[in-house]
Amino acid sequence: MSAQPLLSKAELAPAAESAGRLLAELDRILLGRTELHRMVLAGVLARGHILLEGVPGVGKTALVKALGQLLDLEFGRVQFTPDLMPGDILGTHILQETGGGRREMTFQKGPVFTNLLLADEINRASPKTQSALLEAMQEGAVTLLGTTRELPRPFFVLASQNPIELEGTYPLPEAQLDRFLFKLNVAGVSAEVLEGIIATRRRGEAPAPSYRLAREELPRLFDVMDRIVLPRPVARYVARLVAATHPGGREATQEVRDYVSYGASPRAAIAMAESARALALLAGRPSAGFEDVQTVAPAVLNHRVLLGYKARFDGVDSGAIVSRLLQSLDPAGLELPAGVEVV
Amino acid sequence: MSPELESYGKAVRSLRRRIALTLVTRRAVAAIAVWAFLWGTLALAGRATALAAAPPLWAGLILLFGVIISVSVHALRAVPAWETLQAHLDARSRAGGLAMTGAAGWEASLPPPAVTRVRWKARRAGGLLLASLLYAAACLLVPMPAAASHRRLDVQREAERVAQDLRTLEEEKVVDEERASKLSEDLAAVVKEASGNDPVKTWEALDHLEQAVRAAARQAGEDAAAAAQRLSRAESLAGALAEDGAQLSPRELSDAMADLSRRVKEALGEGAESSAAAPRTGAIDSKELRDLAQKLGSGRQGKLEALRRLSAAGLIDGKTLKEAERAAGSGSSELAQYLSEHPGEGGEPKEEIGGRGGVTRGRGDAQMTWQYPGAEEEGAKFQERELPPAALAALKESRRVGMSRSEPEPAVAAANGGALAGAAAGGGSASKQPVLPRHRAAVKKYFERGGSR
Repeated sequence: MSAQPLLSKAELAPAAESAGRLLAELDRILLGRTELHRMVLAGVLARGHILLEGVPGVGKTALVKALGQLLDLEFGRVQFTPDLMPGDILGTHILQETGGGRREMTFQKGPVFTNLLLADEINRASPKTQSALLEAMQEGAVTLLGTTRELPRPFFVLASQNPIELEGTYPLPEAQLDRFLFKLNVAGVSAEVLEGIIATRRRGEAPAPSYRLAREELPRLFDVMDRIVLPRPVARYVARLVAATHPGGREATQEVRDYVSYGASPRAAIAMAESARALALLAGRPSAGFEDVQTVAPAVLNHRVLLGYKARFDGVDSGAIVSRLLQSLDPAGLELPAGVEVV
Repeated sequence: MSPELESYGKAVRSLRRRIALTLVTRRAVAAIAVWAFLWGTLALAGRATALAAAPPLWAGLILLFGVIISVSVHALRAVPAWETLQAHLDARSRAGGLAMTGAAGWEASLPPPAVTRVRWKARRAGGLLLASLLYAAACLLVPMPAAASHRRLDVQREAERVAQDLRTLEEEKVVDEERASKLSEDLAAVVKEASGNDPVKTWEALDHLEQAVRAAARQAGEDAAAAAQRLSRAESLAGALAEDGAQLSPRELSDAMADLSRRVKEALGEGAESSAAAPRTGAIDSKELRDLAQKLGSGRQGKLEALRRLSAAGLIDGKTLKEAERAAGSGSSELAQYLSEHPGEGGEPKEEIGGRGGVTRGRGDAQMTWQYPGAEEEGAKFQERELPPAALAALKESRRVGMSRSEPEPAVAAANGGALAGAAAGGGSASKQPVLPRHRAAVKKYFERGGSR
């Protein structure tokens, strides 16, 4: 039994209701992406950054815009291009004449100084520019010319990247990737959903949100989420999962041993635990369970597992490896002898 | 505790129990398989080499029981902890961690515990167990004639023969019941302990038993033959007295009756029955004597019949039987000869008359007799007397100088220094052949003729 007391229903219910309404509104605005919306909302509640990957036109930008409107947060957008410079994102000092005729360097804030930043096609910028977001994403601050400036709270980066058209793009470095809580694949929608979009949306425009989460409610959601209990067996499962992504891990699968060069970092474990809590909140539960971990694990681990050249030769991607790992690893760690299993 | 949580507790207990049972069974099957393989190998080695007997099955079963207990304890240690099983049930039931956290206030949100089943893929283990058991059975049951002969010595036929002899002796009252029982026990022990590892010991024991039985039979045969002979003599004497007793004088008749009584006692042996059967010395008529002779004849025939049965059983040889039959039938002829030689004198059997001497007049020894009958019973004894010293000294100083087949001639022998005086020895031979006096002339003539050649 966990020593931490469970939230009462009275404490949890308002937060769960708000989260549920947010989710329902997202589903209403963007059709046919309930699971993606749930994951994005879980990432936001976990105060993490999200990398959306998908081909153009599948609604990545629309999703981020809708989220900004629903959360009633400041929303900024940066279109990453190859000639984009760090100053274009972070801000820059400019020489400005004051009222007294004096000239002084003043700091002009960049688009990063916002609550919700959409980094569109982030992989088109140079590594130098991409790296400009490292401190902002991890520390929530920007340091320029020796001066550190805090970013507004909360601060989220929702980046998108195109998996095709790789010419002229710069794959995100591992350090940058590790700072994203989730990497979510935004796939196309089914014909039925498309039919609904065409039938109900003129020019595909999303309807205006009918509900907005008050700015002061978001911190209360965060507070409630912090009190979601993560039982010790679930925490152990998270740790075992992350350890098993390393080729030398005790419970590593054969695929991991064959194809993975580097496993996930401890930051992945933290991200998994927090996002599992967020999913529990969305489900209206006071505790996170194994199924929550299993839900967020692919999104957390996909971009943190670095594959070797053999995986590329064999056409194996990290999603398949993580999926196989989740199948083979018993959540409770029964460790029964070979041939004995509980079904 | 709420009913929902209680149901989780029951489910965890049940799952734990089933897992424990499965693990114990799994280990026990493995232990039995290994045991069966090792036991079969041991048994096979024991049977094949005959260096050591196959270990008893009960000892192996006790060892197996201990091993199963040991592996069971080891298996129970491998049963997952309560918290682990609770977490497993939480995951299977998709309880979202509520079952693990106690679900205080959230009992209604707990889904019912999932139905779990412990599955053990026992095909391989079962196959191994079956194979090992078949192997052990084959090792224990496969026929090994060579090995068996090394291990066991089959003396059943010989033992049955000895037992048959023993039964015959028991039926003929040759050996008493106690001795027969003892011999039977010894025989059974020999058969039981007959071992191919040490056949000499078994055969010696069997030979000893057989010899004991044969010796008893032989002794019984000799006794029966002697008894039959005595009975025959007594029968003949009784018959003769019945026929011709009136011709004897009263004193001779009294002596004859006393002799008859003694013989009957000897023939029948000591005891009340024999004493009753013995005739009284005194007034007895011819009819009683004939009855006595008839009874003695029946007894003699009974002894002879017993001897024939022993002979038929091979316990005494035919020679012993023939001698017994001849001895049993010799009484009447001897008596007839005796009576014909001593008409009107009565008398004693011929072989007891001594002191006549000579080559043709019977034995030379004389029976030491007393002046009157009954002197020995009255304490009379022969007086011991030492020989005179001079005669004894002469005997002590005497020296044998030679031996001759004929009567020695003292004067010639003394003059020539004995029978070998003047005997010529062979030329250079180590063995000297003495030439007797009566050959001396022929030998001398032979050597003289050789000198003329």
